[in-house]
Amino acid sequence: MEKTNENMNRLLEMLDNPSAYSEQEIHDIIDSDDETRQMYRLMAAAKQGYHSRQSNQPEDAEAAWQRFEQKNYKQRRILPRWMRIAAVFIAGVFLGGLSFAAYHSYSLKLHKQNSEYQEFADERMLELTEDGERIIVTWLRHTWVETDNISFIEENPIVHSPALQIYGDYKANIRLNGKEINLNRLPSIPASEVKKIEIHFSKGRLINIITTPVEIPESMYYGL
Amino acid sequence: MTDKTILRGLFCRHYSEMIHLARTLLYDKAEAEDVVQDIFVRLMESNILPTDEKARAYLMTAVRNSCINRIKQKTLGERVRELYSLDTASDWQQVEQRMATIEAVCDYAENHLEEPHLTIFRLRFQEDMMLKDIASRLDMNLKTVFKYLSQSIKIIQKQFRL
Repeated sequence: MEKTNENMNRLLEMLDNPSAYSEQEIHDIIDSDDETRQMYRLMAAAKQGYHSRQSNQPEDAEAAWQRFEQKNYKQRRILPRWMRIAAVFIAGVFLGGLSFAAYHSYSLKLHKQNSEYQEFADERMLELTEDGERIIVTWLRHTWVETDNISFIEENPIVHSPALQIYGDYKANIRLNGKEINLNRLPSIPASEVKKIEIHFSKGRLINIITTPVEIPESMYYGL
Repeated sequence: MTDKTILRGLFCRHYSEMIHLARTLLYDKAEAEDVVQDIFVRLMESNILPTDEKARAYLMTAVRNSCINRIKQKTLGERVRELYSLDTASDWQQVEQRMATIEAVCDYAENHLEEPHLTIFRLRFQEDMMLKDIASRLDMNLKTVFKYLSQSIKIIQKQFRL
């Protein structure tokens, strides 16, 4: 009983000032024993319960839809071209890379066929949106992709755009031409000036994307 | 891209319940709205929508997972400061059941705690005040506030195993 009281007091003290404790100390306090874990869960449940009561009123779904429509159908931001290209490849590498071992290093090359192709591609790019944590990317049709061990033309229809979540284990720092960029304040530069994009994921994955104009073999022209 | 009329129908039918769950888990109206909107952005950009009979379960599961993921992104210090759930998605497998339990915890506190226990309990969990601030507001010794709150938690803990 005395031990329970002591654990309860430690828990309450810590919750009043968690910044004074290290992550390990917080873990140790909450996980002291099953009773203490239960206390924390009960306190969280109490707070959730009060918030549930406060928010359990009919919401104006129509007004919420208007906000959604305004934000996502009418005012989608266009990212700079270089960022669109980068986003496509970040998504591609990210999704493909999930099946590879962590800490693997990639080197990718994006090849543009010619200016006509570039126009073709631009017409078929959707708008991209971004916020602090996420870039919603659109898959370019017929993009020439070369990785360490495979070359192909990506021809997924653009409407199947994957959503790239950059958070948690996959948080990334992005360097453009060697300089770190802030995803919330994207620089605006022409694609022709993009020499190198490096994406450093927090778990050690390194991706280089290098834009280099090349000729695509005629055999790969189908659909263009 | 998904048919806008169908998406709008889904949105209007399920928005209230989705935002309620998100606010319950995240305690923040704006963040809850982001969660719900993000889910519909993903649906908007996919070609597949959940069918009517499965839509509700799909959307509520998406809200639950998004909220838990958002909470996980915070540091442990931030999570405990805000008294976020440290549960995993599997702890919230049965969303309705879990929601009923947390509301029952509040109901029990409201119906069984006496003063000053109830006031302290509300100030801590409803008003989100720190204990030292509660002590100051109620002109009580901090140790006394600790004692009353501990007693309240023990009383409720006898009734609920979470």
